[in-house]
Amino acid sequence: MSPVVRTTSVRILFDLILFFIICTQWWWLGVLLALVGTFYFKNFYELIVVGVIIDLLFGVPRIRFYGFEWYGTIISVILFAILRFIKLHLRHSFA
Amino acid sequence: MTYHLKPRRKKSLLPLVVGSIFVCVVVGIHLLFPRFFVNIISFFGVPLMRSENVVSEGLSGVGTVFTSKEWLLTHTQELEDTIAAMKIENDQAKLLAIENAELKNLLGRGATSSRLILGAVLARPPQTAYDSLLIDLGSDSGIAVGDRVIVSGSVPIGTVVQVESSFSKVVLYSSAGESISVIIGTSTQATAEALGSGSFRVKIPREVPIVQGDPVAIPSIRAELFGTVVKVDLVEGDAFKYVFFQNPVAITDLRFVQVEKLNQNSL
Repeated sequence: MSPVVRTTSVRILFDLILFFIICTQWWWLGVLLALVGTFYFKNFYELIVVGVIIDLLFGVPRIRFYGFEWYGTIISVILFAILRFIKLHLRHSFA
Repeated sequence: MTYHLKPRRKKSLLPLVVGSIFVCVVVGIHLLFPRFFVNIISFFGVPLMRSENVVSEGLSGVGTVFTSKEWLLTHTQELEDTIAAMKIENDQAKLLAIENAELKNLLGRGATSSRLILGAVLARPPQTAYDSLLIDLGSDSGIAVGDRVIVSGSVPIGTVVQVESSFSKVVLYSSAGESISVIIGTSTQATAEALGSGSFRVKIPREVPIVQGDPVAIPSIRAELFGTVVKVDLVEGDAFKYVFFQNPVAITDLRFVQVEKLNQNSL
């Protein structure tokens, strides 16, 4: 198995586990796992997808935020940008 | 040694363009078909949640294999004594409820009629991110936005805010940032600030006589227990005090709820 195929397979498996954890366990565990994935994999856009999924599954419009319900998505986009910046400046990255 | 000059590679804008187009397509689909992505995610997610509940219930008894018989016997006896005491209290409460209904009838305020639909809780805090509940009742079961969600037939815990075909989202009254009018004791009206996970805080004047254990209800013709005072915080020199009360229901252990559908003529 070539390294690319192996990395892709691992990433797909990781994504499936991530989705399973968000649906069945605590949402913050899924977010932590996604943060780990951001450092392990290259261009881990799944972090943004995690925010979107959390909002789709559990998001509710809140009166104090004028009916806005996409906080998870916004926070995940910001986290992605920050972690991408940090990762670029780290000496070592794994993938 | 000769070093060849590498020409600076121009950064390709292709990933940015593709990404932007993808985001625009996704946002466009969401605006045109708001329920499209929710349906896709829930198609896979809701069955997973249901299966997780089944597995959790099945595994809940495994721990008792490693528990000593002596502890089990003592614990069982304690629980039986508690149940017996609560049965007496329950019977007394039923008598009072009957008397209350008869008095209301005499005064021309008959019992409100409503229908309760039983639903299973698919996800609850802390599993859910926003102190909300996911229940397995949707538009297929006649649920509508604004329906009240209660537990044990009388304890209100939240309101339905989003309805899909097979499941609904419920915002708990105790979701942080929410507020609700309550009556503490028999007559102290106040606005409770939700703190999350079934907890609330009320700021009232210092001289109002509220003590630990006082019941809290929602202003209504119906007597519905909403919480019990667990702590009263007095601050030296402050003209006010903080009263903390808790839902009688353990939100994190909820398995079943009831959605109340009021009949047209009810108040």
